[in-house]
Amino acid sequence: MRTMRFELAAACWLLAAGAAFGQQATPPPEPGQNSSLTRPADEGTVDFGFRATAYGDESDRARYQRYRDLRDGVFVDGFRWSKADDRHFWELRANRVGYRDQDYVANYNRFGRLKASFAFSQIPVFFSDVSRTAYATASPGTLTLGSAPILVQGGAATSAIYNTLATPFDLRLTRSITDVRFAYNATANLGLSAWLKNIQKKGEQPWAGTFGFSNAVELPGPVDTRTTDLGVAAEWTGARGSARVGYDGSFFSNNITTLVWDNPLRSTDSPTAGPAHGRESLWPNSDLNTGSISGLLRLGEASQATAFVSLGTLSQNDALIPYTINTALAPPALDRATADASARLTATALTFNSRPAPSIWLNARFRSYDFDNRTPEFHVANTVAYDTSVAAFAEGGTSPYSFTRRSLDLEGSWTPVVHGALRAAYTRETVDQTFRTFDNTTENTLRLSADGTGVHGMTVRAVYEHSERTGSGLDEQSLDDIGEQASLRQFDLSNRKVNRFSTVVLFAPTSSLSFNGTAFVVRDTRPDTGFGLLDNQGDGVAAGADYVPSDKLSLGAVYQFERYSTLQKSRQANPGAQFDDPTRDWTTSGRDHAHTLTASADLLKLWPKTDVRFTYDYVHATSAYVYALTADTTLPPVSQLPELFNTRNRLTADARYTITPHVGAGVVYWFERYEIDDYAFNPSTLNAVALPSFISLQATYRPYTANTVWGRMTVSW
Amino acid sequence: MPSMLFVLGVLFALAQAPAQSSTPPPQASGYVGEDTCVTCHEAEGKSFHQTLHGKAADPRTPAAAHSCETCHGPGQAHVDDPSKPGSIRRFPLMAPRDASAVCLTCHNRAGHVNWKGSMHDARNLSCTSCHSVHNAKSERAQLKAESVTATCVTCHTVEVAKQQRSGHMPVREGKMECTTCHNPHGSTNARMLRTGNWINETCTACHAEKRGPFLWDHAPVREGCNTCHDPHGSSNERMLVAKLPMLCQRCHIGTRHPSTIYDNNQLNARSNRLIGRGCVNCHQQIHGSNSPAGNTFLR
Repeated sequence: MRTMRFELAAACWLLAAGAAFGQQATPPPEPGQNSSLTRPADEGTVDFGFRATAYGDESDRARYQRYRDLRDGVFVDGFRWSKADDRHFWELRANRVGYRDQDYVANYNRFGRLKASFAFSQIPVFFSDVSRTAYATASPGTLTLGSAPILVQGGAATSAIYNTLATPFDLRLTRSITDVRFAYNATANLGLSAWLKNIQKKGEQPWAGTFGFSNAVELPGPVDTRTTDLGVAAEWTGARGSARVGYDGSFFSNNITTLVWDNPLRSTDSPTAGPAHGRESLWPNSDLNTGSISGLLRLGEASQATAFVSLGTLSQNDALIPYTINTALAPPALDRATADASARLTATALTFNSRPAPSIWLNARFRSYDFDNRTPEFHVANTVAYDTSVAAFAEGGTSPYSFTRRSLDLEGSWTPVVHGALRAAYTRETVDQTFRTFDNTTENTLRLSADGTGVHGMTVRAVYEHSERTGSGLDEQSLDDIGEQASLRQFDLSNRKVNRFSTVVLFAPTSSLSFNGTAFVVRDTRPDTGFGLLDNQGDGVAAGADYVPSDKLSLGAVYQFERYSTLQKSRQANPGAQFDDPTRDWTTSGRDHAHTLTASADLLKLWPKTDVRFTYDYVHATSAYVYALTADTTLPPVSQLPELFNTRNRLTADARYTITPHVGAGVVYWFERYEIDDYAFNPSTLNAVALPSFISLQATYRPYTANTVWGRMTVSW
Repeated sequence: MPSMLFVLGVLFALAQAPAQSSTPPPQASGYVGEDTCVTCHEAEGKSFHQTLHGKAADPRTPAAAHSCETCHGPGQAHVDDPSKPGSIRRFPLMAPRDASAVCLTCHNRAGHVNWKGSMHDARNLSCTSCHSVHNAKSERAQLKAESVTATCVTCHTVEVAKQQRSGHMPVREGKMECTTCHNPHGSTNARMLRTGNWINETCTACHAEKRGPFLWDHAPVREGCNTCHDPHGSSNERMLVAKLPMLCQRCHIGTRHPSTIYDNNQLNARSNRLIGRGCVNCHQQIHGSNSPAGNTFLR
């Protein structure tokens, strides 16, 4: 706390100093000079036409349209209108009018005085076009099976039977974002800004409602939320510094905070066999209020200091649902009726930057973030699992996690030549946390980088980084309390040594030809981890070239290969002797490979009045998880999982013919093929589950082939 | 809505007021004026006035001061001997931090205030590494490349390539861009993130439902969304850094089902801990639960 007070005091001092010195502002120059070349402009363009897509058999139309809407029909796209004169600028933009991924923008700029903008955008998320469910929405947040006879089938139900009961539906949701912003220059030195943003999410997403190991149910989880963000800020800028004060508020409201659903296997509550319904809490309403103040102080010609302080509260106080909906159980009494959850958020950032000589650059940065969870412990003596049974809860209550992060960066850069720089940097980050296996972790990082740009057409950037993280205050008993191995180290906290190297090389031997290459290596080992993630490696290379011999022809291509590997260790055990038996140890070697190729060709006016552009994207990603047992294993032999892969080929061709200076016609063609083999989501997996162990929405992963054609006219004015 | 319209009206009215009167710039010696510059640099003069830099109504623009010479410096020496090195500021030949210093003379507020000391400044990039005053290709922000992503990919090839993976945010669909999350000009947050003061505050700016605080928090979630997710994309569902249940088994190995090997035998048996969404088939509330019975994130 003493450290935090010092940080706040230092920040306030810098802020006050910045404000004081900032008074010596230089008056702005006279407007209106040198405007002889300014031309009033009133111009615009719009595309319209039709679009159609032909899919291959059994294609996954949802994945093809995951974040976009490519339905057949007429379209209006790429609408642009703008008008400008010496003092004003107006602009309207619209894309994909009327479709689920539409967006609209309006901008106004009174130069030097006011900027105002309005934006509305929708982002669709199309999960699946083959989902099925027997659940129907009786009311928001209540899903019922009605008289679906799956109840009668009991443990003998099959997917085939379920499919006859389940109704196909499109599993999708839509995010609608409205954003309004103003920035007003009250004086030459004082700027005021305000914004209001509203994010609405509506639809359904895969959601779990389990009744136990042999009765997992996947539901069309309802989504109906709204987040309203607003903010105001005032920023004062002068010759010697600047200061800013701001408020940000964010208010999340969920129209459905409780989900109730029928148990497919029971129609009556039972104290031993389970409930007729399940109930769970959905996202709680929450408020985030943040005030911030920052300042910049110029210290002579070559140095500056900045300070930033932010104080916020995050809170939610939704009413708590009872432990269970099962009327045959005596639910434990609630410790309190509402969540009463809150946290205080305090952030500071202090920087000092200086160029004491033209070739020397120094930088120091201190940053802290304190998440002070003020939620009182919620005492739990007994809890209810799956709405099925009451059981003692040994841990006794909730664990309101708090943490404080502090990082100090010290950097120095030397530029012995104009376009070359050598940098050395040191970072020390400490994290204090509660309710974790380590009370504290400290990570020391050393970075060395070299950057050379534009020397004989060559740019080389390289950075090497070595870091070591160590924890202190280890509490192995906390692992034992939750039934974990004492030598488990959770990978977000575990001691680690990381070496990273990356480089970027750009070479342009002529003005029309350039080559680029990148490479990276990451070696991350966890030397003190007995169980958990032991190491995490990665490397990759990329190479590409661009050839632009004239304004009419532009060619480019880049290929990249990445590979990542991990090793983690576990022990298959039941409580008792097995828990301490090393012959039951096993490891998982994870492997991810990805090949990415991107190529493009632009042929502009190679033929009269005609522009043609081609792009090609190829991604082939594979993953594998390989199990290994110890030499003296007492476990049964493992049968390895199949390799996973997905491949995406995408070719686009865009041809435009200019009929008149204001009218053009064009054809766009997209070919996209996606292939996937994921054992967890394959139709052969999800459609062959012996119910009731898992009643899924059957939102399977499938390949697709799509050919989309646009015929369009472009009109400009 | 009426109050919003009122505010809009007031701001619009204020906007119509004449700009703050100000003192004319000092007429230092050596300035030749724009008309002289465009004698040779006509194309640059034209492109200059097609941008906000050329709108003299804004007293903070170069056009409102010495036009070309606001940025390039007094031109008399250059006019006298164009071939003389150092006779005028030529940005491609300047040290990156010197070039940036010119831009920062005016771009010294809002999102630019943290440029000095930012990660890009530290690596000796300058404003002109990404932006072009006279030859911009982008619709907005005067970038040298056609889009934000095309600009960032010059150095950040790995991150941009991940956008092509099956699990990705809608960047390649054009609904987001790198600058939706990052401020390339520096920020007070980690990793040049634009919003909030920690990684999670950036993520929950859009995914507010997951910010809690919950009755039952999941520690690594509270610690950082990137513990389990790769925001640039991955081959796994929901941009997870590994497939389930393997990801969960990096921390949960205790006994019974978390410690089990989910191999092909389990797949053939259609174990509901391996197929579909794996652990989340039951532990749905993995980001935190507000149910009193949510200690294992089942409710």
